[in-house]
Amino acid sequence: MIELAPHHKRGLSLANPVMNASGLLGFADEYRGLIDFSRLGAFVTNALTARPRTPAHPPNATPLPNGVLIHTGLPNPGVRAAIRQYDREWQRLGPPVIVHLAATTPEDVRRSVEHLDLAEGVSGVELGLRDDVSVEEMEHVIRAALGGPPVIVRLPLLRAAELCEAAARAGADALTVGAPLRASASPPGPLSRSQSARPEDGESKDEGDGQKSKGRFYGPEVFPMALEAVRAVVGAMPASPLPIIGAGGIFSEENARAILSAGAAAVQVDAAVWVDPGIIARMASALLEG
Amino acid sequence: MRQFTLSVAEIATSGGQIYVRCGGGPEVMVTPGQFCLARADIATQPFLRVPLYPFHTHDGGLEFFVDPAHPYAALEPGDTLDLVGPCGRGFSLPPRAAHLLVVAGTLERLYALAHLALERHFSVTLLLPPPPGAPLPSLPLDVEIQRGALTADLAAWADLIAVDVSDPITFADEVRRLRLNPPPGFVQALVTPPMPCGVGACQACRVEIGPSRKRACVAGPVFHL
Repeated sequence: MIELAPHHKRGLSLANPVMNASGLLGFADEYRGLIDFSRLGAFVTNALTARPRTPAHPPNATPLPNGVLIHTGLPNPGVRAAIRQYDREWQRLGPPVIVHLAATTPEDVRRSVEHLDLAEGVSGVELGLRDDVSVEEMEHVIRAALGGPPVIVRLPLLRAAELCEAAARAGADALTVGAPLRASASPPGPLSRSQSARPEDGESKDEGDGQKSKGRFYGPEVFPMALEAVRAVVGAMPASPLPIIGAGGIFSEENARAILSAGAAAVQVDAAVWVDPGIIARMASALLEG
Repeated sequence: MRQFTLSVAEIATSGGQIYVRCGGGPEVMVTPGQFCLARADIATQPFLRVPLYPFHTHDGGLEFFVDPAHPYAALEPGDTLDLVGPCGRGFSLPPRAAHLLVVAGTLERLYALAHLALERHFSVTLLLPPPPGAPLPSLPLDVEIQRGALTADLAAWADLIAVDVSDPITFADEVRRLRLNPPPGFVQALVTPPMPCGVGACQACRVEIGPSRKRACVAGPVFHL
């Protein structure tokens, strides 16, 4: 068993180190018939927010030769409605269910976690941060999330080493390294990483930048950055190591092994499951067999 | 919804399009307009799975047409297709209808519907966009072909209009201008944004239909307008 919250009174034990990333498999069992959920180390939901959110204006997906840009606006029914709608399915699903909560304000996070704490199917909360979150803002939302299920903080990939120690001090039980990169592209041209747009609740906004599509980039090219970020976070926290979940561009068993060898306790698989729904189960079996 | 594999058995050119016949897999029932998300181990396979609109599934096989510019125009006999599907909601042919008008630039995605309608003894007319002077393509179906804009006569003749155009909302408005009180489901539009997952999980295939933004892969890809 893999323990992601060794210092939390409830703990968060996984039967294997492979789970999906948020935003990939839906809110519950949308992938029924295609994925054997019992083979997941954990199931991570799509993002929830305290209040319902409507989808962003289409188009929400931009296929690229090397991946895909996704900009959905994080549509969701809100935490309370989601619990009413999905908690029974979460209890039946099999693996521990980790609800991804988009961190908005400390008060919204506090109220959301109070509701999630009462949901029987929820084993953990993954807190999603804006890419440009300040250390102070991050500490406030993490502290607001404490007191309920174990809290995993998903750090912006390119700022993970900068933020990890503060996240640990604020009370995070584990860290996800990290969130998908925000990027822009003019298909079919080359991809460029965007660091300027200020996102809301972790999703980028179209700022009218000509014909460019913007969104979160998913593709194998992210993997070297994810591996580097995991190594940097492990190196930045030698005194108080938190369990780390490595994420970003993991498309093969070899990718997963490299992330685990770098010091991560578990991995999150993202767009690879759209391409190959069976990849998580195969990856989990291979890693368990050593 | 399932994942299965098929082997490409035959490739041919027909009516200016590439015809692909696959077999060797499970029997899958696909309603015209429903799609399967495919992945092939070929150089032209894009990053995401490719939506295919198959027809005439029988004995564990399926057939489909693709445009010559489609990535799967490069398929060869013996290639394997890994498929997820059938996904979404397809077209519905009203029981007492007899006249189907298909409005599309190509029959690639509506071939299955035209094929089924002919099997049910519909009269099928394909309305292609202008220019009117361009030669009409040959089709491997007994379909009347017209070219140009929708007319009041055509709108009155049709019992059902199946649409695969870039702006189906504007088209439906034009239909309502030309024909008063059309029956429910008179205009059925295939709307095909990129659909990364095909099961409604990723939320990335939202399309604006009426006042709401719906997921094309589960609420569509065929919408009644």
